[in-house]
Amino acid sequence: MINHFDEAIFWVITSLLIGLILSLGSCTSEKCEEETEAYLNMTIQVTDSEAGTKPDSITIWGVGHEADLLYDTATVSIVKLPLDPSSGQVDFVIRRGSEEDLLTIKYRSEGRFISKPCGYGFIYFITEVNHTTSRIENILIINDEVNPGDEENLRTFY
Amino acid sequence: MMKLTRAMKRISVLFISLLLLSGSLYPQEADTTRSYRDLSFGVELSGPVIYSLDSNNMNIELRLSHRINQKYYAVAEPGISRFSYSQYNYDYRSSGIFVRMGIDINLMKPKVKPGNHFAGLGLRYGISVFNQETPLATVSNYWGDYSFTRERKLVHAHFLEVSGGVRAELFRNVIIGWTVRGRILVYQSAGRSNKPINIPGMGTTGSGLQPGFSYHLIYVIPLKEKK
Repeated sequence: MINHFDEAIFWVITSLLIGLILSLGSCTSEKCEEETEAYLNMTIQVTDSEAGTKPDSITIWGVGHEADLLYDTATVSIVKLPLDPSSGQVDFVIRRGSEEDLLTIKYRSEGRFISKPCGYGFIYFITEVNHTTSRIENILIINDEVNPGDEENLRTFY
Repeated sequence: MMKLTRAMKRISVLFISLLLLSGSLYPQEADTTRSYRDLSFGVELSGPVIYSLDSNNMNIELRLSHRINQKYYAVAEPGISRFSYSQYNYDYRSSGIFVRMGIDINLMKPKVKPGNHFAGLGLRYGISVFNQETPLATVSNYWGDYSFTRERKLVHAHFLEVSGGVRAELFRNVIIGWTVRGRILVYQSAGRSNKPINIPGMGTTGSGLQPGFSYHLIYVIPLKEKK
């Protein structure tokens, strides 16, 4: 009976220690490492005199955020535009050289849980795109679903 | 010292057998001296301990088991759970009930006069019914901060579990032991956009096998003796 009892105690203690080691080993630090914000990816194609090249001197800001430029005289062929989850429409001013166009994007937003460390984010579904034609000739909706990542949503032609 | 060495050897054999799933290494022997059939009732101990250290995480769980024969146990593990979590950009709460049902498979070599020892594997199917809500979440970007809530909603979830562990008879018909568990979510009704952070009975959700740990105190009620 004593032998049996000693052995049982030994089992329990050994088991507890091994269990503790295993449970500690399963603890991992939680850090948000995913891309959480969905940007509208808009490519820019130049079909005027500078055909085949990236547009020079692109400046973009959101209407109402003039002091907070998204792009400042940048030479880019793709831009990432943030959408506002609290609204169904955003307006951007796109200046190329000295001329400006107003780009209006209407959309539907959908909140989603990303992960425990990251929390929530939004994806968007583009419903309508309007623009002035000072320099922009046309804008096509390539993919109306705006997710985190680099997938092209709009294609702009100058 | 000899006793200790013998016990250590025995545990090594048990763990190797568990890892290799090598029940066939120990062919079952006929036992004519005692029936293995019993009922047992247990409580999970780590949940209350964790709750005493972290009041955001409550898990109270019972364990009901019927030993069918030398090797197999039918097991049901019902419980209640309450979980809350907060970080800089959101708060989350869930509470509900669950039950895990399945079998335990004892890989130990049976003896002529065995105790209620166990070293083996378990397989479970789990179902959980719970409420979850996000009282406050905030998303920040170029346009500013946007705060919103997700209202309380009833969700059900289904998961599978594989486990391994050991149990030893501390006193006559009183067993204590631990189990390491891996769980995988099969389905949850909240949808992708409202995926639960924590599912009662399963724990934290995430990709792949989610780890879990239990420590049980069990009382065994023997059913009848064979002559």
